[in-house]
Amino acid sequence: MKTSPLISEALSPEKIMEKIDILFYITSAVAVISTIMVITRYHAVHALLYLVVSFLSIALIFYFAGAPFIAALEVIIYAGAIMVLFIFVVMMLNLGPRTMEQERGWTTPAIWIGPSILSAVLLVAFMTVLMNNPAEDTGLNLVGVQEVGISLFTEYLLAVELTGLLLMAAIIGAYHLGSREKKIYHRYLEKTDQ
Amino acid sequence: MRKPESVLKFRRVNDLLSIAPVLILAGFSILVLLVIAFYRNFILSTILAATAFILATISILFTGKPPALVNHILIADRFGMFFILLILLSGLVITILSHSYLRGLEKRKEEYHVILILGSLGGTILALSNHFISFFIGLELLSISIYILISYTRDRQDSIEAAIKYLLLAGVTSAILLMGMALIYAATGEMGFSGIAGYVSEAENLSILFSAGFGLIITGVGFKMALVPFHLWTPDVYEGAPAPTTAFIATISKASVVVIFVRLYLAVNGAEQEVIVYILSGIAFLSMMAGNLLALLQTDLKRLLAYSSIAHLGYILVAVIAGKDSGAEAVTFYLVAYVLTILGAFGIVSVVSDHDREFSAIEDYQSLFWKDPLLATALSVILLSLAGIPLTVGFIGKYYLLFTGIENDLWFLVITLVISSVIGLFYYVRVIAKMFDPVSTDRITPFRKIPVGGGIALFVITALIILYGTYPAWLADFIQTMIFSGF
Repeated sequence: MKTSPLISEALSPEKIMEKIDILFYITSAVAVISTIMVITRYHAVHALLYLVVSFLSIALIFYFAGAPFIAALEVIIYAGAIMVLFIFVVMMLNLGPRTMEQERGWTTPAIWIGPSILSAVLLVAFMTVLMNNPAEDTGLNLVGVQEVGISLFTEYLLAVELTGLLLMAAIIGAYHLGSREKKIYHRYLEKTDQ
Repeated sequence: MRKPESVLKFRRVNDLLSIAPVLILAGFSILVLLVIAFYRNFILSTILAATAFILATISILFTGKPPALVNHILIADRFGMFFILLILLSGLVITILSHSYLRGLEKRKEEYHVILILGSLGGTILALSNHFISFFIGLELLSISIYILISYTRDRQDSIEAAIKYLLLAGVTSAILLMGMALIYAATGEMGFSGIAGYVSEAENLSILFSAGFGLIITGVGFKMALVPFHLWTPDVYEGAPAPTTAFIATISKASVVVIFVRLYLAVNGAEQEVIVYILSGIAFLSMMAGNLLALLQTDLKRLLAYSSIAHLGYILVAVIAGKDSGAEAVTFYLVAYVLTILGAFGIVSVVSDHDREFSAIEDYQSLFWKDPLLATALSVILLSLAGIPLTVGFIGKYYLLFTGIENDLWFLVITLVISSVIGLFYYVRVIAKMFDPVSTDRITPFRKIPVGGGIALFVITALIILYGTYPAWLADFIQTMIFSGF
């Protein structure tokens, strides 16, 4: 058994599970608070910052439940996608020096305080678990990459194939609805972008 | 660690053969897409889509008779196959209808058929699904296809508005449905319906967690079936969507969700659970009354049919609540009657309309008897069947429902069914009376010429409504021998 600075060696598996329970509630509280902040912000960019924190805390909950792979996916797909959205917003509105000024106004240092505090709480909770490695002691059933992969491509093979078709439908729809075209009503009339 | 081989479920070719219709639809969706990539032709894509539906229908003959568990998330039994047959034939009719409707669209009209095939595929998955995973993926495949089909005529503002409404509400209800599945999984530790059935039969009474989960699932399913507290999207979406899409939502989407709900209800033995019966009875009562009362106020045929569909799904719920085999049989018969009739109703709206002008106001059908007697006769037969007048299939369906309700002592619901049907009769007959109005030449735009394919489809549908209304034994025997001999 590894020694750890935060949880002493003498603790029984039950005690460790109790500690994890406490960490779980702390993380859940962070998730709830950050999600409330998301829906009460007036500014979309500020809401996005809290949304990233919300996703991180959910990833951490997955990690505590013994699913490190899903936790990683949560961070990569959701939190990552939010960052991409962020960049899109900035890109699309980047129209000149005036908007640059405006954008700078969105991200004043004060805005970062709330998300930073919440993230710091998450970091502490994460480090606590990471340094103790409780899975070995408590017999928590870990679901790793291999297990996920095996169940996806044997038990749920059909579901994976169907998800592919689902994505195909979504892409065709995005292509049909999203494509723009120039429409010329008459050659003597003004050309209009439709 | 388990060995990969031990969980591989596709060991027999028979497994693949038993879900042949699903595979054919999936294959054709890609084939049509590839053909579009090389050669865009609307007639070709229509023919290919129709071929997909016909081939898939034929392939039902080759699926095995005993129920086969495929990849443990689908169950290929006769009950599911019967509904797949219904879905595929509806898909075929909608393909034919969509051809004349979208012909005038300037660009990219071929993809409609790809999405139509994919949506029907979602429906077939729902009809066969035996597991929460396939339930959810089938439902999402259906929903995503419906978003696109609604907004396909994207130049029309109505379409986009309807699509956004449907998108937001369907998204929220999907989340609610998932929460329900999670709660049931937390209570039982099972995601397959057979596993859940095992848990329910062992448990003395259901835990709060399980009941709450089932309640949330009712919410998700009730949204798709447009039952009353969850019906608010229905009239706007029915009105805004292109007419073939409305036909798709009213038939394939609703029928497949009813099937999965019947499966789940039988699995949890819902008829024995008091809480579930009370909740569903309340929903059925509200749907029947509200649907029929609100339909009285409508001046638009599509909105009127939307409210009438709310009431009809309420009727179906009466038989669902009864549970057992007799309930499932009545549901099957009524769904066939309903799908046939509503397909005809929206078929008429779509053969007279096209992508930028829809004739859906009841005013548009004024004095139709003097202008186009055949079309008016077809619409009258369809409306009478919806109202449940004898000699139409709607009457036999309602008879089945009442019979099942009385057999299971659901007196309150049976009385509601009768009273609300009488209210319903009024607005159906009002439309027919409108068609008999003498000709007034002002402000009536003539309909365009009815396309051949749509005309044949409507003729067949009308003939079947009368045929099954006069000789219901053919359909009833078919349902009994096909499905319920080994259910």
